[in-house]
Amino acid sequence: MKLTDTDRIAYIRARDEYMIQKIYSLYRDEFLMFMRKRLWKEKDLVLDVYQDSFMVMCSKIYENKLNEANLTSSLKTYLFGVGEMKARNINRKKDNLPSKDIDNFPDIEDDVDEGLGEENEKIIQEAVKEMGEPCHTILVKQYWERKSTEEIAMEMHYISRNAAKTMKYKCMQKLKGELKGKIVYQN
Amino acid sequence: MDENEKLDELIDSYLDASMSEEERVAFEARMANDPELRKEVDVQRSIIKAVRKERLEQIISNEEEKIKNKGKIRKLFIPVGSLALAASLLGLFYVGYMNSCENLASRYYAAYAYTPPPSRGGDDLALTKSDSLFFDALLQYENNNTKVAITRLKSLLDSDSEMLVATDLDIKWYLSLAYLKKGEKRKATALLQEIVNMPNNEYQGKAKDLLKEM
Repeated sequence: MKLTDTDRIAYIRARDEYMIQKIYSLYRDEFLMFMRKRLWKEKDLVLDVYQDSFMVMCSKIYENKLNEANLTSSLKTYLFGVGEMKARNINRKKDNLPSKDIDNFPDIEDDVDEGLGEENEKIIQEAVKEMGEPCHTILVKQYWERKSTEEIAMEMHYISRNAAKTMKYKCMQKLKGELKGKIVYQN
Repeated sequence: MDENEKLDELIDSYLDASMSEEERVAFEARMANDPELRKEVDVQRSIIKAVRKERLEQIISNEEEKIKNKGKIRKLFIPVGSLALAASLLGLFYVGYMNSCENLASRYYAAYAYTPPPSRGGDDLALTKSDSLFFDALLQYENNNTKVAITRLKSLLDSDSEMLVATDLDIKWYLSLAYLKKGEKRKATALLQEIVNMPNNEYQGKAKDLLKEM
């Protein structure tokens, strides 16, 4: 079955892990070849750039900033565009010569979160990774698998939907408490 | 549900875009006048992003592992000399062996069904840390993180901590399936034999059948 970009976006949005892996593999080799020319002095970073670009694309889909309606080119072009932007940033930092190719890629907005800033995002990322159980599982079920509290209660063997809700709230509060002293707010 | 819990739910609805237009406008007006609420929302948004990012990283890592392994298996099929042919046949056998162990384990695996006793006066039943570890082990098993599942189940067998949801027998059954899934037939056989030797238990029949198939 031939997939369209609409299908791919739908699968990513639905968190279909099997299809996300397929879509990741689909663009991988071509992207790496493309990126090796862009990052000819930083070949070690090529796979990192692909993975970061892929995650940016998925995040934009989850935030509904990229969807079937506003995708003006192809999903592949979007992904390569994100990669191009990242490569430019890397090359600029290393003072490499700028690319002479004509830039055919659409404008990709910066993927740095405007809410809390890059440093704070990293702190939060670490805190989430270090969460114990059952909190980590509850948050994954709610925010990744998008399960309802009834489903979470059943799967995690809580006595009621309210028990699952309360547990999720306590987990969130615990995490926020841990982050309180560490996050720096910029006014 | 107290006020703070309601607010947590409200923030989720806002970030999920599941509020009505009217509710959204009202909530944004509230945020504009309440910097603390704004910060709370920003942090919750970032936490949700972090959860998604972590899961995506895991998916990507699994796919990279598959790509790496495909490359390794492909090398076994280069037809250069009989040594290469023997090596490729060995590789095929290994892949076939692993597939059959996994298939066997998956045929006998059923999600653990825990029925809590009736609650007393509406109080929630507090699961112990060991209970949580048990459920997490099964989750790891289902997500093909078999090595982690084995480590967790083994630690439960070795510890004397109180458990409400499962017995040593339950743990041994799932541990035997995890060993089988990982291809460690000898360890699986030893545990299954223990189960068969224990009198009149719910896993005895299944353990006997599984041993026959192995």
